[in-house]
Amino acid sequence: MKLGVLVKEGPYMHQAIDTAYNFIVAAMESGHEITGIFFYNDGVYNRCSTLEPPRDERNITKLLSELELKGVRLIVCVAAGKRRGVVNQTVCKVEEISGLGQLLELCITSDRMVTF
Amino acid sequence: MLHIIKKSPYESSAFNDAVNYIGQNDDVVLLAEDGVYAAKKGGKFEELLRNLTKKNSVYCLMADIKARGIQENEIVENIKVIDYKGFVEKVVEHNPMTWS
Amino acid sequence: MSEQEKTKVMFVCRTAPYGTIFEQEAIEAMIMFGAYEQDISVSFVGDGVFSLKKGQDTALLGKKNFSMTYPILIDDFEISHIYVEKESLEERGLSGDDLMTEVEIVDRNSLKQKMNEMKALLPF
Repeated sequence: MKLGVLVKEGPYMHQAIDTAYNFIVAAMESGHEITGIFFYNDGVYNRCSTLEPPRDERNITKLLSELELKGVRLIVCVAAGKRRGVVNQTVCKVEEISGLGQLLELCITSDRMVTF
Repeated sequence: MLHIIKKSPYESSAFNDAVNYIGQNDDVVLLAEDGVYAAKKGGKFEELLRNLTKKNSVYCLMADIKARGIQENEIVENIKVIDYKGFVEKVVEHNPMTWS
Repeated sequence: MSEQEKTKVMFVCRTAPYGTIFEQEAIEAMIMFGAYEQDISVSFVGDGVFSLKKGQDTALLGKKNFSMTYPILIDDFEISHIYVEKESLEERGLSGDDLMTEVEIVDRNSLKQKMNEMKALLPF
C-alpha cells in the first residue's frame, strides 16, 4: 500500500517524529511504499541542518537522512519553513523545500495519509 | 476509521474529541505516545475504555507503554498491545485520523 | 475533472485561533488546496469552532485577523464545504448567530458520516 506521512511537530520537544520514524521503518519492512513525508507547522524544524543533539542521543537528522537514502521523499513546506528560518541556507537539502501543493499531491497519490 | 489518540486524556481534549467520533461500526482506536495513559487501570478513563472495548477494537502501542513503565497487566483488559508493524496493519485496514 | 475523479480531503480544525499557529497555517493550506480542483472540505470540531466567532479584532494583538478568510473560502478559493459541529458550538455557548459566515451546522453523527467518505483527513 502507498502511505503518505504528514509531520506537524518539531523534533525533541514532541514525540511525533520518533513515532513517525518507527512507523515508516515498520511500514517499509512490511513491504509498503512511503510516498513521502511532508513537514508542516513546527515539523519543518525536523529538517533544519544545524540541529546538533548530544552524541549519546538519537540523531533525528541522521535518522531522516537514512530514510531519504532508502528512497523516501522528504518535503519541507516552503511557507512554514521561511516563517521559521528553515530556508535554502539552513535546510538539510535544498531540493526538499517545496510548496503545499505537494501535501495535496501526497493525499492524491497515497492510499492512506497518516498525521504525526 | 482508525482513531489515533496521541495526547494524555488528563491533559488534552484530544481523547474526549476522539471518543465523540468513534462510531458503532468498524471504527478502531489506537492509543499512542501520551495517549496510552488513558489505558491505565484504576484511572479516570478505565470505565469509558472498558465500555469502548465492548463495541470497538482498542489498541495501544507497546513501545509507548513500556517506555512509560506501564506493564501489560496494568492496562484495561481487552485493550490489545501492538508494535509498530501492528500500527502499520491498522492503518492499512482503516483510514486514519489523528487526534493530538 | 469529474466529481468521481476528485480526491476528497477534509481539514479537521480542532484548535482555537491565535493561541497557536495551527489555524493560520491550516487556512494557508486550504487556500492552496483550493487551486487544485479537488474536493476539499473544512470542518470545525471542539475548540476549532472558536475560529468562526464573529467580531474578532486582532488590532491590539498585532496579528492578522484570519477569520476574514472564511467568508471567501467557498466563493474565491473553491472549497466545497465548511462544516461546523453543532454539539461543540452548543457546549461553548455559541450558535449559528455568533458565527461570522454562513457555514453548514451539522451534528456529530452527520459530520462523522462525511469523515467516513474522505480519502484523507488532515487534523489541525
